[in-house]
Amino acid sequence: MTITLIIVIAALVVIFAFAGIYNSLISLKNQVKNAWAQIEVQLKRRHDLIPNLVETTKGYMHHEAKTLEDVTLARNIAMKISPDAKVQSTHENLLSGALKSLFAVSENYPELKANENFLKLQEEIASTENKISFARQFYNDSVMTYNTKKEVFPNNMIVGMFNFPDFTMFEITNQAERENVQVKFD
Amino acid sequence: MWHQISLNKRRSFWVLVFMAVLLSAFGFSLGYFISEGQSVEFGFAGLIAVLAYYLFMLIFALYDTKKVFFADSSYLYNKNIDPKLHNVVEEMCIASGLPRVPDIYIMDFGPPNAFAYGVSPNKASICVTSKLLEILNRDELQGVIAHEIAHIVNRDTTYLLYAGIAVYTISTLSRAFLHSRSRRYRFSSSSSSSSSSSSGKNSGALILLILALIIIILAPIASYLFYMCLSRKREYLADACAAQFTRYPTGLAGALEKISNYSLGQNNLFYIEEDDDKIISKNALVSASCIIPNRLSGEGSSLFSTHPSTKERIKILKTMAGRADYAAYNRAFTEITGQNGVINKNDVQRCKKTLTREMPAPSKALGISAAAAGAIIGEVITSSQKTDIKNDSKTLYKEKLERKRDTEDLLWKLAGYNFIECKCNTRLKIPSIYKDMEITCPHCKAKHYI
Repeated sequence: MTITLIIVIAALVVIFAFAGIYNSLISLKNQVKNAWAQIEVQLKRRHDLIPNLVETTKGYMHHEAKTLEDVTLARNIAMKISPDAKVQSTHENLLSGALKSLFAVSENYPELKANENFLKLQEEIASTENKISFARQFYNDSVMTYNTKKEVFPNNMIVGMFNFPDFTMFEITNQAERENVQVKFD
Repeated sequence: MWHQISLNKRRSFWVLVFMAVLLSAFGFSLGYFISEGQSVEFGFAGLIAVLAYYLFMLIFALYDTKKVFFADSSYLYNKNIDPKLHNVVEEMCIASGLPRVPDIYIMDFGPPNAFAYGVSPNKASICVTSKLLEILNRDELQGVIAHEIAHIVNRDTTYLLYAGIAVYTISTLSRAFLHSRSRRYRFSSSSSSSSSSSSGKNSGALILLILALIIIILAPIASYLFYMCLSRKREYLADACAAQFTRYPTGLAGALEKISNYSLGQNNLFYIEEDDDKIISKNALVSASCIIPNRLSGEGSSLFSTHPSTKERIKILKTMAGRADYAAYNRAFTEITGQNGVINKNDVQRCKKTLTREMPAPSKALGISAAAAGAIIGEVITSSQKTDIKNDSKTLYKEKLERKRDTEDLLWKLAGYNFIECKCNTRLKIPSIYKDMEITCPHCKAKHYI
């Protein structure tokens, strides 16, 4: 009688522990996926933001019609995601370059720089950049938690029974970014 | 699910249990003492009365938060006024995975300070004073907001709400009781001598009576100590989280420095044109989640302050120099205080849901080469895609897959990778630091020239 009871209790404990680990892994997996979706949202947002900038600056930069055209063009090209990765990469870089030159020439227009709308836009730029990097950072944090949870004992035994995918973290492989910034005053 | 209850939750849970026991003991003693030790029933009556009072205060606090904290002194922040604060909060929500962007309130008076409030992460609010916005730069503000968001994510606001109301209940009742007693004894010493002689017949009852009195007198201090115990470690934890979220501990350190320099010699945030009771209740509930303690005189008396010494916090954050993870915080903590690390990895809570809602359509803004920081993503989500297929129809699945691939590729490209398509349908991703002229496909062993 007591032995049966002990066995039943032990079995229950094992089942609950099992369910607990499984559920926590699932919720972590979903968190990773959500984090990934967040990056996509922010990248899309980046494309959506550009027409507003062009609209705001248009009235001021009469002599820079070319620059504005470039930005719009680059954005439209970048939005059509090309099957060729290399081409797509070039498009994104083109867009970045066009935006940079737009902001560079905006320095010459004090009226524009005093425009409240433009200042708000600058704030949005900074924020969108931050949001993308924070989304990526959260993704990395989530992946790390998930991977650790997956690899520790006894979770790794449960993971083996089900199909839990591997996620990889973002890593900086660009050599230039790894090195410390050297500041020189000549 | 009990498996996941983290160490921190358990510790906080026990502190709350102690609080409940203390509250009950206090109520019992109060009833017992008022009845002058006549019967135990009075003790239970007192217990029930005190618990009822606690519940009333709790309900009042839960339903009347806006009124208690904000209505008279602050206003809801509107993004259109100045998007900076809103953006910073939104950024920190993304960084912490908080499912809902908290309401933001501005307080137009008082020294620079900020606090978080809310029963659950989904109902949380953050309040900052306008002075804070005035004196901090963007990085520092981000540190402060990250600290507050960490309080919300770690459920500090919830625990501290329950504990804070218990402290408030005990301290007000104890004070009222002692006040009335001392007055009565002062004016009618005869009644006190008669009561002591009547209870003197039973020495056991007298001992119980004295014990009850001791509990009544010590309960406020004990409850406050429990409260400190709950809040101080959580303050370090919130700092560590803020460093982790912003990846920039210097920001928070700078903010703390500025705030404490500004506030030196200033009055308590809530001492301005408020009556006594309000101050106490607000302090009990709010002070622990403030970025910096309200009573700045408390800097010296470290045993009784809700916050660790600000100087120490700044030193720890500065010692982290360059690193921003919990391990770095722990090392810095040990270096500064000589104690073992405060942060247990399990302490850090996570929200079940993350921020999934689409960002509001950008009305007047733009983004620039934002993803251009050199980050890449590897062969993500290959086997998860297989599980997805059960739910989605095949075409939908394919679309999703393509979108995912596109985004992945984009990030690879932004990190300076070159792609080469092999005949065997493998896409080789070549980092910019790869110097060789040719590369072999790992699948079909075909050679490609770069």
